[in-house]
Amino acid sequence: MSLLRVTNLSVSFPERPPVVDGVSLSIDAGEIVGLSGPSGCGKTTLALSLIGLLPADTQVSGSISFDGRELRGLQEADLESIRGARIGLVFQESALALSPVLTIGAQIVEVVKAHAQCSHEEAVARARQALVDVGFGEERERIFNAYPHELSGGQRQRVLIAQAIVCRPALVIADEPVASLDYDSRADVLALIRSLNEQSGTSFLLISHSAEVLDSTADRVIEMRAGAVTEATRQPTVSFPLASRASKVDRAFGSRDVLVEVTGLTKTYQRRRLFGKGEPAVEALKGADLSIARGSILGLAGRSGCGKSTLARCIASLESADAGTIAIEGTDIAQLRGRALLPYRNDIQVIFQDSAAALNPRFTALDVVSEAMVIQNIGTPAEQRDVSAALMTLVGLSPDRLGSRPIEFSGGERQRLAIARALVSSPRLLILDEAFSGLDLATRERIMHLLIELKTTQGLTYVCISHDTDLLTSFATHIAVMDDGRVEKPHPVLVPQGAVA
Amino acid sequence: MTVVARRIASSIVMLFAVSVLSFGVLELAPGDFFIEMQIDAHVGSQTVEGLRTQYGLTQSPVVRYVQWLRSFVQGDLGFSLAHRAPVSTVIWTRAANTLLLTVPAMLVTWCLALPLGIWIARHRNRWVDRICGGVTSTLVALPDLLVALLLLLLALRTGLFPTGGMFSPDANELSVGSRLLDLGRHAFLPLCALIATTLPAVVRHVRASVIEAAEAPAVQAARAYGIARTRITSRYVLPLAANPLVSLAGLSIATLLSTSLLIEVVMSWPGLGPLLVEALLAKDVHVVLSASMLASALLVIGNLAADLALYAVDPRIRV
Amino acid sequence: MKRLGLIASVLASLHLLVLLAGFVAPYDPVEQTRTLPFAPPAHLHFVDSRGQFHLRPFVYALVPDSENFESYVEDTTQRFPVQFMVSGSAYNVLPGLESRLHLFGVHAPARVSLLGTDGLGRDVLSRLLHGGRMSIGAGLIATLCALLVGMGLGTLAGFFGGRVDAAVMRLADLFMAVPWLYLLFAVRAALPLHLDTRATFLLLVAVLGIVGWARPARMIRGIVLSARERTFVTAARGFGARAPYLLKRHIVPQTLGVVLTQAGLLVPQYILAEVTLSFLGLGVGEPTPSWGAMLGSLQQYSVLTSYWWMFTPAIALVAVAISYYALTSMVHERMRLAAS
Repeated sequence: MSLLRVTNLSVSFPERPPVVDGVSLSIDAGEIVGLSGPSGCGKTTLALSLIGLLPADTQVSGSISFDGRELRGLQEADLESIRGARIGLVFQESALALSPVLTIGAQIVEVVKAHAQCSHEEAVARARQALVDVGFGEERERIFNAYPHELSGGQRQRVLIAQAIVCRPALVIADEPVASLDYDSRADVLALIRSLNEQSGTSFLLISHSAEVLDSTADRVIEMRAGAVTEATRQPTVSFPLASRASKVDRAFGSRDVLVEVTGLTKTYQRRRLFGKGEPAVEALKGADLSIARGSILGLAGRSGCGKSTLARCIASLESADAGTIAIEGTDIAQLRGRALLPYRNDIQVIFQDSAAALNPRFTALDVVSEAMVIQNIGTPAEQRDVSAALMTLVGLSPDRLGSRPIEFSGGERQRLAIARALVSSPRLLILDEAFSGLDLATRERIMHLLIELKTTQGLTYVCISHDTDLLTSFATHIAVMDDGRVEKPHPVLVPQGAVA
Repeated sequence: MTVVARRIASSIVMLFAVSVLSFGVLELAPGDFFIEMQIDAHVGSQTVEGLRTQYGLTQSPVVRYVQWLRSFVQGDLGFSLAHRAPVSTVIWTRAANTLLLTVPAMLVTWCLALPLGIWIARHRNRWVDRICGGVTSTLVALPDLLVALLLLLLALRTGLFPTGGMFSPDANELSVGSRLLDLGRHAFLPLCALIATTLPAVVRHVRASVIEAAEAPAVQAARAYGIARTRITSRYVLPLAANPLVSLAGLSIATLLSTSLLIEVVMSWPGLGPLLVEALLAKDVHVVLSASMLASALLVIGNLAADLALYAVDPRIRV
Repeated sequence: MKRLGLIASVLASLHLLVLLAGFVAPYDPVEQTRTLPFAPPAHLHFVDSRGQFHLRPFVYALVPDSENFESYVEDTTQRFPVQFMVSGSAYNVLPGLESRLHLFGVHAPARVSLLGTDGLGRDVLSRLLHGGRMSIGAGLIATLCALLVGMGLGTLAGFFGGRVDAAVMRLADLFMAVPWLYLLFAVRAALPLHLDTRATFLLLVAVLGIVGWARPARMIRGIVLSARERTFVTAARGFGARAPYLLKRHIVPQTLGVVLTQAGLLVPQYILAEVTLSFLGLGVGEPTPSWGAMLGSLQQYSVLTSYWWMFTPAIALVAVAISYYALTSMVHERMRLAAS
């Protein structure tokens, strides 16, 4: 007997095409069902619609049957008694989902009191128990009396889960519960979900855009795309379409010729104030060493805060290191400034994470692509235009769109624009700083294809920074791992085909 | 605790800097108190010079500043040339009168604006909200001057309220109770003017802060846990709105002091306002300096109080 | 969009009227008619005392009422039709270029004081228009000064950060630590008591503006700070861009939106500041007309209660303020929608 049965659910906002379009799914008791799909496909809207949390003017049609009871069309008071007590919801951004002015304990107690007629002491005891259930052993007192900003991301996420399960609901909807967590915390939270499922029989609807997360935790996975379910069920599979292509091409290359050699790089951030002492210094890099082989695709992995981005910015001369050397084909550029540094700036370019933020929204595509030429005063405007048009074609965009603004391009197309911009200076090394996050799987593959083509035709070397190990295994030829400001394996290891790091 | 101590220390530094600024600005003024006398042909220039030296106006600005600062911190605020009396005798009563007007005005304004703003926020985008929005926008655009004049006109036409001063001429002969009543009748009009000029803006801000707090993700999360609506308002929305509102209260003190200056002049309330204007016209330097310093001190103290209140209300700041 | 155009045209017309004050105003603003103090607004008639209709409106001459010396009565014996494009008192169209052409007027001894006269018999409408030049001009110039200084210091503070930022912000705190009217007065005290010439008035206005740099500077600093951290600025630095390029191409354009809305809010505030100063007798000296000085006569209770037309500068002030605020909030809304 299904715990939750959704039939032909459609949700649309006024005067807009449906965000959820005829979705049907079911969840049995004790199941963990994964819901995957690219960002914007309607997963969160679906989740909110199940417990009636959408704005009043939303049009909802279809049937939502929970434990034999029809949820759609219920009065607010009835929905309130179901929310939290029978169906729990874990929000994505833990920092935002908790009130910053109440202690953790107070917030969990609020949830208890909303559903049970019990005394304050009983509610407090149940809240404490919930903290134990989610794995806070000895520190539960400290957590109970703490404010959300005093906790780490992983701890906050567990608190959200505690709030969701404290009234022992039959179903918990977890919306991207691990998206903003680093590798270790992610594993902890997923393990927690599995153990809650095994011990209490709580069903979970686990929403995530990451295949790795779902495959490791869910019993089965439902895929959504553009508001509709594409495949009813899918057994977890791992597919790395590019791995074979990349490693075949570059294994043949396999040269030991080093393009960039980094030794002993150190960087500390310090905020200074006019009067009084500043804030504590952050040691981002503590003597990092790295070799980048010419023609390789180096994947740089590590959890958030380990210094990957800082290392990349130092190599690209966007930050100046405090100590150490950065040698490009033997020449140390770490201490160069100004005009002497300029040719090396051109040699190393960066593709950034958020393509919308990396392009000035007021610029046209022409302004964007030709910017390096404008800054360095190269070529007449007509020549700049020609070069820009040629580069647009190279990255797969039509030169007719030179007059359009970034907002008129899709996410993937904007990344192509960014690549075109970077290619103007004929770089030798391209650093991709989380350049694929925020793109859906299909676009990601297309951009990867483009980059591999360009690598061969333009003779490029890549450093690909990502926290997503699937991605690195399918794209990179070598992997280096960073931790706490140092590179653990400075001489990158070749990636065996199909392996998961 | 060191945070508090540091705030107090920086407030003192601020006051010091204000004194330098005020003194410096006044120094730029051509002429001094005796310039009118100098123009008068009947007064010999030697007399004028003698008076100048007597009152120490011939010394260099730095010397005068240091002397002034030294006496200021000891409580001696200088000498008013126009009133022929120490500034202290003149200024403290005037300052007290200004406070008598501004403090109740602020309390009443916030006591009215908070419930009104919350109520409007609850009915946002309905006709109640639109009407109140239109009314407050119009009132906000009205110059304080106009509001004061209109209220004065009203008083004159209806004869209900006295239109100037703090007490009636025969106040001294009345009993304490009657005197208080008399004070109240005299203060009513300026109070109304002050409240009318500051209330609309505060209501708009309260509404905006409450709406912003109500749209916070934490509030939607609370709904997802099935917590009742009324409980959400009191336990989640209002505490979240407290931070911006306390900051706003701090900022509004500055406007209040400026507005009260104008209203005191128009309605002849004997506060710092008319004192300052007269002193300005007479180039009574010490009075102008002391009045500016006092106003700044009130502002700095008010901001300090607001910061301390913020510290108590928002745990994020205590880190 | 239509509403925006409407408000913008209303505002533009108000400014145009004031700009063409010499032409639109029927009389010279300082010309006194001691025989007609506090005359009420002239009635425009279309039908004369015999019941005959005339297409062209006309007025009657005002004579003192024999029974009540404080009021006037119309002398219906002679009609004075309103003429258009008449020759009247001289005024300067541009510095050095004089003209005598006025939009409308009547022959002497009647007066077409559409808004009445003040205590010295000066035409209120004329003074309103010429005074508007003073008050609105003060608002515009002061705003310009405030924004120039604010933009300069705010951009410096936001872009260079560190000690420069801290120093500028402390200075801004200092300026904001004094209640604005008190600061205004302190500044006013620094200037000569009687501001007779245009030059000293401009000085007052410029200083007024410069004193108000702190709040705009704060806002602009915030924008510059966040703009500086934007990825596209980092990318441009990666191409070797230096501060002048970054400021010109990336950062300053981001601030223009804020600058525009700040301007829309500051202009009415500064107009009000000038009016307040003039009201208290601290503004530009007589006989130059200004709205504040015109309202100053309302401090006499007799004037306040009897002569309602003396309130017209306040009405004009409110109209200008509301127009500016409405325009600003509409522009702000459109920019917000465009950004999202």
